[in-house]
Amino acid sequence: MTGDRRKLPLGAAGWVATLLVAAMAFVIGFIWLPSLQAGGQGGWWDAICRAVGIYPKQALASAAALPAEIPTTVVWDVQTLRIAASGNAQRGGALAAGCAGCHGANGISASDAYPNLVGLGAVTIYKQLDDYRSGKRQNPIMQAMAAPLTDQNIADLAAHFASFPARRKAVEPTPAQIAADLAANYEGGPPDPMEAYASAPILVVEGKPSRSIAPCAACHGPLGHKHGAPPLSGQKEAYLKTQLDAFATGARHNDMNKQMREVASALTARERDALAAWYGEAHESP
Amino acid sequence: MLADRRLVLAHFWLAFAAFAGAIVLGAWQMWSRSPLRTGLADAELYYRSVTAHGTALAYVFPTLIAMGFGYAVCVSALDTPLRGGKLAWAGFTLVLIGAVMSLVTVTAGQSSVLYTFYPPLTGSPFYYLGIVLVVVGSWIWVGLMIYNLRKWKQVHPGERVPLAMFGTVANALLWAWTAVGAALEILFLILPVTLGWSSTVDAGLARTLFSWTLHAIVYFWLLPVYVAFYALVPRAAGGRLYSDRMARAVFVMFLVLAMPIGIHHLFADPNIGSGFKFLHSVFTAGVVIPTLLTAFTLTASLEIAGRLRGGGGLFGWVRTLPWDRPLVLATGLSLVMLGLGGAGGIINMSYSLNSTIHNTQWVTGHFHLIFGGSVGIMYFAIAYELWPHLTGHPLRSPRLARAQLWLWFVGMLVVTLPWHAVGLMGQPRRMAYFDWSNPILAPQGPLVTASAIGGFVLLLSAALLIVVLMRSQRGETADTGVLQYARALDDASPLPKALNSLGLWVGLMVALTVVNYGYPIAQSYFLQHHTAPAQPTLITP
Repeated sequence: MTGDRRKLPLGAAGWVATLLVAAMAFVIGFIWLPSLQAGGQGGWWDAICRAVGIYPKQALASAAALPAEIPTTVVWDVQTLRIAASGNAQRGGALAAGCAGCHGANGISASDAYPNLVGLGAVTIYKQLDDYRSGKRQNPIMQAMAAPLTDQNIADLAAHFASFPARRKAVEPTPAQIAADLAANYEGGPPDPMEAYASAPILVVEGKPSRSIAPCAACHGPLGHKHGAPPLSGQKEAYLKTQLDAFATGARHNDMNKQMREVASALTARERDALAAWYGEAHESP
Repeated sequence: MLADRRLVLAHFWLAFAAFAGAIVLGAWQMWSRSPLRTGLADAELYYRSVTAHGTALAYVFPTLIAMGFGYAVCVSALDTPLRGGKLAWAGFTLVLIGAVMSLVTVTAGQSSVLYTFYPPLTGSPFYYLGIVLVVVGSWIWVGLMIYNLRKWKQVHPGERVPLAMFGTVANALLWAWTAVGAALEILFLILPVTLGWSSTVDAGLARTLFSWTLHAIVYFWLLPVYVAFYALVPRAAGGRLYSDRMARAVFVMFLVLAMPIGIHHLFADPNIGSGFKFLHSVFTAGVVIPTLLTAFTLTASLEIAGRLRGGGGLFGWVRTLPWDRPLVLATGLSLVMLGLGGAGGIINMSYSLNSTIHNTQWVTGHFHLIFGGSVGIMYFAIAYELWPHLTGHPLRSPRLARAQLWLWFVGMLVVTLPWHAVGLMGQPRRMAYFDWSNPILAPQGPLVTASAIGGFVLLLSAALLIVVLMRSQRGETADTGVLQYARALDDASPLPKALNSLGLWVGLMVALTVVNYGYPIAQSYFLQHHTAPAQPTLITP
């Protein structure tokens, strides 16, 4: 019972109708509407370019022209992450001869004044060296050390320090530790949410929302990991304390979104001490 | 009884097993984020649950129903045993393995990426590989549907392809083409990251490719229901299909228009130019045509049935329809939900109106109403209709079946209407919990509570479905006859060749894909402007 007696076969009619709709939509969506949106400015070619998502390029400000209050010139885009991951650990090892004096040949520093570098991760080391080089993080020794380095040097050094077997990993307080902490700091009762003092294990896993303090573990691990946020456990207690205090006063200001300055200034001095001790080397279980 | 009934039964039971588990999770999720729950919610657990719920209900459940119903249509409408039965079992096995692999991975907390993947979020490769297996299994079904129809045509040259098979093969072809987008996304963008070969993924390109699948997959879920609307419902109501040719034109229009419209899901995505958003908006509006044609033809067919049964007057025929038959009842309830959901859908696809509800709970309400509601309820009715032919036992307790359908209808409205409302109030979707102590959210609290109660009504309905189907597996044996399809008023009219074969329309579908997707995909591919570092969601010990 099949047969076709029409002038224009149904199939051809379907094709023609569909393509006509497409053509109409093209004229409206790619020429007419974008011209209207531009207030009639520019020709139809400009309109089509905008409609397909091609916009005139805007010149990016160069790093040197950035205002001083910009915390860092590092941006976590794919390009940066690719460079940070492209380091050669052997070349970095040769460059690192000058680092060992303070930070130790294996990335473990002999002095409390200098941080351990082992286990920090290439991305963290990359950012800090870049910040020293650009002057966004200030330290006379480190700025002098970083000044001559190229991007590739920095990536190589980062790869070198990241290549040591990680000696420590991010730790989260165990329920037993939290219970012991509650017993010690809150005399056994449930902590008052508006209680001024928060102990280190609570700050690590819960933060202090009533004071806009995010949990440390949300960025530094293990709850979450953010680019450039180093693992903290096993770091020098004295170094952590200095840095937290420096963030609190704004003396250190190379945190990309001001998050460390916000958190550290919301912490009390006693809480900063407690956190430095919690994460500090002395605290680490063998 | 139906030929190859064990194959069809296996598909339906696996589908309903996945469905039942997912409904439990869904009810838990609604309770978990409602004011009914006191205490802190574990967000990771919530997203794990949402991922399992979405994966089971979007990939496993409807795919298996489409496959199982497709096999049933193939052997009954073509009146010949299935060719390639062993391959069909192989396809079923792949779907089974893939479903288990994906869901176990999600349950283990290794892939809480939601069923839409959302790169640069990445989870365990086993999750994605499992979904690939499900799709590969379903592609075997696609191949078998095409092969069986071709063989039938060789034996019956020039004859009218039975309408049910025409619609089923149209759906198979639609699925074959629309699954390509997500397959490309998984194989070339996500798996290289999860296997450690790459650390970045182009999120813009991935979302564009996923939108290729995302909208047409909805029509892949819907078309088995349309096959039932056109080929089974008029007969169950005791009437005739108003127009066989209109039905075929509808299937053809869905085949052509369902796929190249997915960018209306990306109205807020910066990598797509506004011109393409408008273009896709226009073609999405085109889908309204076959939808309204279906509403018209189906209503006309039901009116024929109602008048044949003695109904008179303007609406008197509605009363005389056999509402005690599950398929007729489900059709009525489905049409109500389709009407409400369709109206909401027109808002979603409007380039300008969309910004009001984009990424709000409204959207979740919309697709639950359309898919969970109007499509889901017809899946149940299709199972009730097929069950006697699959098991050799009449459906036991049709009253319970009717109660189940009513509960599903009521539960779905109680779930989704408040969701639409809170969406308009600005509630974002995909939230694990809300701060119900916040006074700004207070007006939403009662609505969310109501919808959570609706969730438990749905849970009860799902349990009843399983009870009815299990009870009907045994009991008295009866001659259940053969599965019969509706006859159409215009069965004897000449049929244009273009409505008896699909090749021409597959060509148009591919051409329209090139026009509507070619440039946006090429732009993302070559510019790579939206490459982002992968964000693993894995829980590391």
